[in-house]
Amino acid sequence: MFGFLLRKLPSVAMVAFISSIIAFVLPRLAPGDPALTIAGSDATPEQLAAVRERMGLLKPLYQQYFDWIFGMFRGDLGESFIMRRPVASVIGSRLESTLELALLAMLLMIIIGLALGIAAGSPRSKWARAVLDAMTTVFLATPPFLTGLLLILFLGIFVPILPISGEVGFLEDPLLALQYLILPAVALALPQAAIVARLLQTAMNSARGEDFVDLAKAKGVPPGQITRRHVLRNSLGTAVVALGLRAGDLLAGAIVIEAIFARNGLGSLAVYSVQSRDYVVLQVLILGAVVIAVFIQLFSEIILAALDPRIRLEG
Amino acid sequence: MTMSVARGCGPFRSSMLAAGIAAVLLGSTAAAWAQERGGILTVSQSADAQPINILALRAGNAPWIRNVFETLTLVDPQTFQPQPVLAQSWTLAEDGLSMDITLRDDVTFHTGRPMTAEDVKFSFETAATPESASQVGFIAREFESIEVTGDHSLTIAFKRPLSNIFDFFEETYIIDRETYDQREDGSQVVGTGPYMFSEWSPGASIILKRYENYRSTDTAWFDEIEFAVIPDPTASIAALRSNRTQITTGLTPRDTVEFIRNPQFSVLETGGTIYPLGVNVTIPPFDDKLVRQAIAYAVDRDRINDQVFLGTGTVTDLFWSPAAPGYSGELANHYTYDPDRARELIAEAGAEGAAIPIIVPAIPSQRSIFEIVQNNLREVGLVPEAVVLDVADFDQRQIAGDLGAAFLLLHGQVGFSSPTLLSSLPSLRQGNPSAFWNDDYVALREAMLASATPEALGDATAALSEYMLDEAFSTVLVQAPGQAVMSSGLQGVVATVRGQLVLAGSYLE
Repeated sequence: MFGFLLRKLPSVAMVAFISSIIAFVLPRLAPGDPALTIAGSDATPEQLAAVRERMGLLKPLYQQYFDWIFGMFRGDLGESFIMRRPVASVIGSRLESTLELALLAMLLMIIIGLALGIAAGSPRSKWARAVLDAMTTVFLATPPFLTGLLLILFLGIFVPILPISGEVGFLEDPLLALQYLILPAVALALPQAAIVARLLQTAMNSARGEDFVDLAKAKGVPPGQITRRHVLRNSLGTAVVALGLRAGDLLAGAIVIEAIFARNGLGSLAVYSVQSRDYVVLQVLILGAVVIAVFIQLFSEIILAALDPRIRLEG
Repeated sequence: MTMSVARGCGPFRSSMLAAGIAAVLLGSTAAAWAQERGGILTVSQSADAQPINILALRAGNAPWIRNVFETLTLVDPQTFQPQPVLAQSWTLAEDGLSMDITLRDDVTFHTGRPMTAEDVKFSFETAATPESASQVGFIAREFESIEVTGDHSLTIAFKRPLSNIFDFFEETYIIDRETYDQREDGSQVVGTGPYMFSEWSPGASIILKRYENYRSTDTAWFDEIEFAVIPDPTASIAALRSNRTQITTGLTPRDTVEFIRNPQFSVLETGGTIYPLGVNVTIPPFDDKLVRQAIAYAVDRDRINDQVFLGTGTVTDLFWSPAAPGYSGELANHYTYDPDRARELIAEAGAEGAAIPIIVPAIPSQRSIFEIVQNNLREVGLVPEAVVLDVADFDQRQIAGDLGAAFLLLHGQVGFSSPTLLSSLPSLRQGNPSAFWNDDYVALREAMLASATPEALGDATAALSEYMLDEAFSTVLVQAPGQAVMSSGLQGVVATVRGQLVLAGSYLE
């Protein structure tokens, strides 16, 4: 595995380098700049020019890029134009919130996705299958923001049993933190879980038609064992790939969910940075998202290889 | 406390007593005496704080700033008269060219250091710099000198009489010259108010804690005030309904309508916004005054007020406050909705069928206003079309005065006096996007700015208003208030005329 990771290193470095250029240039292509946020919409041209100069925005772009890149090699991600704080500290203060939300949502996605997928992909009565299919379809068709709003309405306002606004850190009070996390995590996980379930169900149905399943049946292997040892194991590869891909979507969905539940995570930070044109924060967030996506894909490949001996880790 | 001024009445008069400021600054003090200290008040706001911009009006600072910082004076929202806060008294010279100010001697910064006249001088000089982004900084640039005459007294000499000096006093917070440079990251935001700026989590929250050494003990009932930054209105409403917050700011009239008749909540007006429709007088067909006037007649302002602002706004043709000297109903209703008259003027100008691109910022209220304007202009034979710009792009072009032929603007500066608006509003100042600047306009502006008495200001305002209405280069559609929704158990919350919240006197029943 270490050899595999070592062989992947050059391509990962290339992706990171290209992403750093895109992350640097992309925010600057949009109209406006952070000086506009600070000077305000009713500033005079003189005030805007004075603020731009004070912020160092008049430096050549290549100089700003190299300052950022060399700073990163020294462990300095830069300083936010708007918040005037180190980007590492700004992101660090938001990381726990998003990590907690993403991890719980991921856990729920895996549990619900696998449970629904296995249940729907196993032999069932006509009615049970119809109910499972309906559930998957509803989850699949309902976007996280709608699920979130419905949960807020029913479980936060009509029957107020769970908090619907704000957050508490898990390290501060685990039980309370969980109460704040449940609704946003469920809203975030359900559509993704439905996708995983549908893919797993299809893979299981397909695997059930393979010769080795017929052979197992002919040998008198009990149906439960066929599902567990032959059908499920040969279908999980699809689910793992889907889980890896869906993890990225979870982070994207967190932006909307954090806004609806007034959580202060990286998603809301990204939105705030876009609106205020806080380039330095934004470019670190974009680059960070790319690097995380690359590592999730590498991790998926490693899991796939572990599940299926026919797959070898190659660079 | 004593005070004396040379002028007789209006904004120049300060025959008021200290009780006035107690009512404004400290809220319902008498009622609050019965209250006990303690608890946390939570307020939601849609924009984040900008500690870097202490001296500029910012939506993200409006809910909390006046609880941390104080100014020399504060306008009573009922009488529109300046009341003393950090200033104890002031005397304006007969010629209007200087003012002697005596400060309170019992004021300390949150660091414990006593406030002196040097701090006031530093604050005023800082506000005059372009970097401060102060909307009233141009007033300080009209100061000839600031002379500190004692620990608690100073004299300001003006280059010319400044009828809007109290706008400057009211919007210029007295800052601590020893820590001002460390404010940008929120680590040292030091004022003299009843609450201390304790913590800022950028984009998330601001926490204020009671300043125990404040000069008055009959105030600051809550131990702590938290301002949660919640940009999404749905989330703000959910936070209020679930009692996470007790006050929600930054909502639109459409958001607040559900609370108006709900006895569990009350709605407080906080400042306001002026919504003008501007045209560039150098671009055809707007180089013809008749077309500009036709547009003013064509737009149904009442419909905009009813449909976009649910009747909460004031329909007026003027930029000024209805309380301003020289404001009259006749001027305010100069252009009433008259599509027939608009058609006649357009026919007379030969502009039938003219295409009119209107630049609109991507803000829901502005888009809604455009829908009505578009419909009105089509009715009178013009062909309007929207050019929707991202807010940052729009702001950049507004500052540069480059918004094309026609544009919908919004200015959150309700509450300033007419002379201040004249220089601070992008629609009216030099370099405005209407490209309207000529000798007549300059002469009328100068007459207004030079007015030394309320009577003269009233006459000058009326004369300038008549001229602006005739030229119709920027037509005000409506002035709409901001709104804050509060839990009904919360008492003593006050909003200044510019929309900042004063929470020191607030308490929960």
